[in-house]
Amino acid sequence: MGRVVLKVENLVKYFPVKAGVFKRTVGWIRAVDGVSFEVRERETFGLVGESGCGKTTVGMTILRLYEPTSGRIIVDDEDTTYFFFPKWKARRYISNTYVKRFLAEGEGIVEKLEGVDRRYAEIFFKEAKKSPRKFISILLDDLEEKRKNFRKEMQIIFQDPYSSLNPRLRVKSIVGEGIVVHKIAGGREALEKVKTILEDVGIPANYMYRFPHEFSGGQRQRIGIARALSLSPKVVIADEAVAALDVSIRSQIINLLEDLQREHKLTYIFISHDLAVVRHISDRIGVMYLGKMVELADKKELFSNPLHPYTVALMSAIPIPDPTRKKQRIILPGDVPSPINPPSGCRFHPRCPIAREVCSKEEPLLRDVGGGHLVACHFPGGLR
Amino acid sequence: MTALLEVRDLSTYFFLSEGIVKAVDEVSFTLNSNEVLGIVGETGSGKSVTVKSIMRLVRVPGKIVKGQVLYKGQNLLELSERDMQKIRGKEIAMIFQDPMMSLNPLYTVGDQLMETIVYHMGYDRRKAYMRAVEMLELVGIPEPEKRMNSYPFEFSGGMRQRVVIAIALSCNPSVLIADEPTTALDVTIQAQILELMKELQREFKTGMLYITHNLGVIASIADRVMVMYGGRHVEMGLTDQIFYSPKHPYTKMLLRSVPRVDKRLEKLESIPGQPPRMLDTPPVCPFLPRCPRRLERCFRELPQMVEVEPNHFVRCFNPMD
Repeated sequence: MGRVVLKVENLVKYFPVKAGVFKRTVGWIRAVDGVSFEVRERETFGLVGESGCGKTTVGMTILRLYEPTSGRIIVDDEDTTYFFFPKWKARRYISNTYVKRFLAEGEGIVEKLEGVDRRYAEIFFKEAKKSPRKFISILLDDLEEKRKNFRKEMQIIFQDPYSSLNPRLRVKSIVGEGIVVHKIAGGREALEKVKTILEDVGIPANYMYRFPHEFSGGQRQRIGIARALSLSPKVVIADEAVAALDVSIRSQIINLLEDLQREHKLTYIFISHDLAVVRHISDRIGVMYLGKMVELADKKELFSNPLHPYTVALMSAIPIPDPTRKKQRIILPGDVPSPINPPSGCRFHPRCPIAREVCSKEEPLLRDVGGGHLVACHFPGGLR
Repeated sequence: MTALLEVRDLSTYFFLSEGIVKAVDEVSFTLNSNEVLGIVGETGSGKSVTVKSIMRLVRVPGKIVKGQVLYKGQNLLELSERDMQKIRGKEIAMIFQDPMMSLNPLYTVGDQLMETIVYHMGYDRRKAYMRAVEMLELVGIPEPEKRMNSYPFEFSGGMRQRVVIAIALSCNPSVLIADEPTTALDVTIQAQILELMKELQREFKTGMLYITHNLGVIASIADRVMVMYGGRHVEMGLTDQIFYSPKHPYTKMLLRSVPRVDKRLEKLESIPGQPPRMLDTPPVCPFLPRCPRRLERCFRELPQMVEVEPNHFVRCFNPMD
């Protein structure tokens, strides 16, 4: 099992609902409501759920294309949450998250902590000598550098290969932009790099002076992948990266992603609504429903022993390309409720075939039922 | 016995400034009542244009250049537009992919249901209202009388698709054409809609053309399957034949390239190359450039549909064993 490269802790993202002439905030869309998970080095972590479950928001928030409402995003034992905050907000965040706790607990806390907390505590007590101001300035010192580095290490592949490539740039500029911006290489050397990457993803290098419209959907997605890989990132988030592609092209791209992962030692977060694709490509899988993580387990474990009723229903709802396997489908009644006003207790209870009274009152916590199999349900395994 | 719907050598071309796109090229098939024929194919294979041609909904620069569409023995391509309007919705109804596009956002669901019923069945408004409520109830919309006054935006995607199904079935059509009706929906909602369509199809003994690119959906709903590629039908047979003993190399490779929920495949088999560019295609097998089993003969002539076992037809000189 690899080292943890990305840790998402209690991630919350609310979007305001505005109404009226003055655009007053009248409510909140709770797109992501307290999601935690870890991604290990060189694995593929699959995030699966239906539309509106918040899986894309999780991806976008990790990349700080959205600012998180609360929670922490830790990359390689570095808290990246405040990287893209304005200065005042970053100060407040560091003070609230670390300084107050460190001051309250005293130096003895260092031994009890691990990971990023321990590192920061050591900086606080040793380097900054308990001075909050000094501590904050140490953390914010090379923020520009940190931001740039973060952008380099975290990349994304988008769903739609048509709208995600700038139609007015040639392929060489699309793929080479990052290489130039991050001063990895310039001039001829940059061009060579672009060539190698394009060949890696199966686009002939002499195509690099073409524009996106000259390519088919599958080829465009390859260009999008080349762009994501151009900076040798640590983590690549693939947000529905194969959903828009035809079946025969989809399998090409899935195989390509798998090959690239091996060659470039990549870590993927693979976001998809398609459980079959997620099953194929992932090592561990998290199932989301209405802004919550409802189940998280190893792929093998999840498919042989799904415990959350939603996971079971989701699996049984997928049509299998095999006519004799006309199995008994579990048909969930109704629709996914609105994330503005999510149901009380367990958010799945209005559609759950085994819901009891407690389910509408108490929210089940995500807990380990053994072997790293996490599930948020009062009656795990109650539906088969 | 004459088939309910018979399509013979249907060809629809699009005349563009760059050249001619043979979107549908000599496609033939039959559909009987109380039968579901699945049409499966990828983007650009011509499956949607085929059914649009049947309904005569192809617009310029597209043109139906030849062929016959026989509905109960009557050639729809020879009817006047006026007579055709009596067929659409009444005899042959259609469900489209995106329910938001097929419902008018400015009219209530009730109005839209009743419009169809009044036009085709000649009911008065009171009777049409009763029928509309009955239909909404049939497709599983709770509190149908209240929902008659709702606008499409007040419904969720799955509910909207139910309304579209209600409209399509309101005049008891003999043929129902469903063009990717569940593609825009989530899997749990897709399961609901599929179940509903199967149930209603059996109840009314409708002949149904079900178009999709999703092999899983086809396997669960179709009695027979037609596989299309590059504007041509390349294989046709009973669902079991297509899934268990596919004869066309394309069908076989397509089936192997789908990731499965029910089992782990080591590596997905992928079909090399790109889907065909449809411009000015030569009269050979459209799959030729990507085919691993091609023969020299394939470069010279187009194979015809050959019956390899009862009910199972394939267009290939070198079919799989």
